[in-house]
Amino acid sequence: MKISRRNLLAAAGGATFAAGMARGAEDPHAHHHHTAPAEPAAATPAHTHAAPTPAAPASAQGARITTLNGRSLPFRRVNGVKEFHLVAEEIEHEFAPGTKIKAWGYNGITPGPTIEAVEGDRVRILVTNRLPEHTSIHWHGILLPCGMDGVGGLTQPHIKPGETWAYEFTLRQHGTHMYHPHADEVVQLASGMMGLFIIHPRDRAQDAVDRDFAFLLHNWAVHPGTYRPDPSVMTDFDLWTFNSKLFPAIDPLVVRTGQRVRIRVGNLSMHDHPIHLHGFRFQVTGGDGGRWPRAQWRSEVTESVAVGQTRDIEFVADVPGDWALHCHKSHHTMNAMGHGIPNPIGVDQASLGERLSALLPGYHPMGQGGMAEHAEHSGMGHMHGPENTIPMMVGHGPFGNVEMGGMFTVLKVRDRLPDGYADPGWYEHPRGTQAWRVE
Amino acid sequence: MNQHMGWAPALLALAITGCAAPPGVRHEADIQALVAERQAPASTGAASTPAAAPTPSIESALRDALATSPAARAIWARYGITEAEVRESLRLQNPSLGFLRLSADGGIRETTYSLSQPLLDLLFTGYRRRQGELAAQQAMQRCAAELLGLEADIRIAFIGHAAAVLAQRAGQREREAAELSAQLAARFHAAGNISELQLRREQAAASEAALLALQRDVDVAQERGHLLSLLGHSGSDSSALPEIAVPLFDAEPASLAELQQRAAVQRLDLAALRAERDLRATQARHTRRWSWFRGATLEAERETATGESARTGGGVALELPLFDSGANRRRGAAARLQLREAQLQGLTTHITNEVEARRAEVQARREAVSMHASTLIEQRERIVLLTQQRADFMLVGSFELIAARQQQFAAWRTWIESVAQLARAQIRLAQAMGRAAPDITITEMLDLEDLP
Ligand SMILES: [Cu+2]
Repeated sequence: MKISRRNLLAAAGGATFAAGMARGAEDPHAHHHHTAPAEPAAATPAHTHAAPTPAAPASAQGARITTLNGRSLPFRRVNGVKEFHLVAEEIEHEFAPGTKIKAWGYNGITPGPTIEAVEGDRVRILVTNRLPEHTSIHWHGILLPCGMDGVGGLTQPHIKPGETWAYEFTLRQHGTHMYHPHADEVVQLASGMMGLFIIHPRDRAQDAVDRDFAFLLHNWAVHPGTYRPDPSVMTDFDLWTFNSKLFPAIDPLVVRTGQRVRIRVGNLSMHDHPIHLHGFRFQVTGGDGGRWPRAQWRSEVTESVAVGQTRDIEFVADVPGDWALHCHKSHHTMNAMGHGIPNPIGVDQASLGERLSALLPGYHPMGQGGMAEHAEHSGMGHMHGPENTIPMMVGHGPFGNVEMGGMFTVLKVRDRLPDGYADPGWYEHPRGTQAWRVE
Repeated sequence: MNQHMGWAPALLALAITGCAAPPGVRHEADIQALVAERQAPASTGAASTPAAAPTPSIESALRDALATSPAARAIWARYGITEAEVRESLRLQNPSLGFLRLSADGGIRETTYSLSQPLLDLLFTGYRRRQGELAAQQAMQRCAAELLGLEADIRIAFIGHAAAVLAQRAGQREREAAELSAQLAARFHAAGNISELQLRREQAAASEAALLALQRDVDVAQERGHLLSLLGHSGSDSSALPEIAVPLFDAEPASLAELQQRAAVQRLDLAALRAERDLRATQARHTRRWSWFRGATLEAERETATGESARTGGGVALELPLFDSGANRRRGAAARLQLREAQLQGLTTHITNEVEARRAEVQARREAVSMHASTLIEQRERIVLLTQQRADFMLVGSFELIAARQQQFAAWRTWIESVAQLARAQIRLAQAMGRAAPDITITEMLDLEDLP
């Protein structure tokens, strides 16, 4: 079924929706000036009577998804169908302060908003294409009629620039899933087009947690000094992200002591990522195939999420503190870094220092004792790297440089959270619970 | 008797007048004027790299060289030879004085005095004077042209030497960068971080840079020797070398047609060839008219014999054009005129083309200089800065940074070379137009002190 502007208006039956669509339908260039998501206004919290979003956290009901640095996609109910609207468009995206790119995403962001629904829902997802080329959306891991699978050329014609198409199907499963284009994938995925599609079980008590976090793993070929991802890169990426953000710009996961926590991780990058959580043994409780039977759960501290996979992990956050959560490939917790440069570790450059600085007045011989001094220099602003480039190791903790980047964030477990789930700052260690210098 | 001899002294007087009549030899002052009116006003803006000890300025060294160098003296000497030959050719043939004494038996003695003067030269005095004037004019023009050529050669040698010295200094910086890179590689190798292969590559690059630097030393020595020879100094007299500077002259604003027109007026070799052509034309006309008339001799004689009264008389002997009517001489003279006409036409065409080609060269060289000044130098500088930023963020290694700096020095070297090539081309263009040097003041001087 092809949606025209006329029957869209009829289906929407509301002036706000019409205004949103008219922009896309009448002005194919609107996306150049438009970054706000063209989401149905009727589904915003102001109109919750029309579209009840999942209730506030209640263990029995299950928590709302917390998409790190992101949000869930509002929907409206139309004749018993949950109708979502995704707009594929070019956007400006910031990985971390000082590093911005021209990315492609949905509704103004990458990853696109998380689609949240409940097993048994009939969903209709409208997709408007404001990209300069055709696209399609594949609903990764979701059971649906073949014609809704979103493989351009194979299961449907492509969605041409300026067109809006609808996908509609009934959700017959629950679990952590993803969406992404299945058209010119190498460009569109490399540019940031992806999103999470999370289906809650009909019986929310079945997987109830207090805090339900979700993020997508991705890699980016944004070479130092450039502003657009390079889709030709296959393995040697520059940046590694949780929800398209770099440490230290990735949201912390804030929980109260004793809460049951789920972290959902999907991987649409080109590499597998062993995701490691400090401080807890977690259970791996599910994946793309849905929630696993309890007998299948595994107790782990690191869970590798392969390309095209999702994993759910769950634990009770019973020990307060600032606990690192990161990919365990050490180069994936670095920002822009040179590969294949001559290794300076152990090299005595000092004795050539005078001659080097005579030849190159700005030269800083570095690395003889290791690279940590780099974080020191760049963190202190002694050195200015290329434009639009974040140093390879960043982050100041309460005790010094964290010397991390990329796929790294912190699980912050606190006994008290007076400001709700806002970042509570650094953990104050009780006396006698912290390592000390012996001599 | 004396009355009868009356016209013989007149004959001599005429001959003497004739021989005193070679066209006025205007000598050095006129030649200097020819040169001076083609010279640029002394340029005052010739800033240059400051030197420790005072050295002669380019202009004063040039003036000295044009006055006293062996090359300049040889030019003046050649002019002297030509001038003497011209004077020689204008002299009348000398008269012959005859004395004959005959004795006969019986004490009879007969004595004859005779004076004869070939008449041909005498009759064509006006024609010969004109020929002499043209020949002398030509000699002066050729002499002035040689002096201008020498001046151009010396100016080009100054520039060649200065450019070689500056390029040597920039090349020395390139060499230092390569050597530093090799030394740094040795540190990396000692730490066990690069292989011997990588080390050797850096070292070989340093060796190559050192070899190139040696070649630049050779270039300086050669340019220096060439300049000193033109200046007429021996190599040991190093104070004779002027300060080092490569001038950046103003642009020549005139159009091509204007330049070609000026060249046609100013080129001394063209003027000399025109004089030669005029000389041959006069000669051909004269030959056409008088070729049958070869020899004529005026004779005066006085004869005394014992017992007789003296007899005085004179006569004319005329060669009869019976077997040689002068047809070959007419043809020869006409062919010589044609040859000069052809040469004149050839030179005129050549000058037109030469001015166009030199002007095109100047424009291209100027483009190269301005590309260096406005783009390449700044690009290389920027590349060093950007590479430095990347090295600071450990995105590139130190060797890449040093190589960027080395390329920056290389850009300076090619800039220096391009300025020198422009200056040379401008001097050659001026020469093609019959001038000494660009008639413009030096606006800028390339100075290695600017090198960051
Ligand atoms: Cu990883």
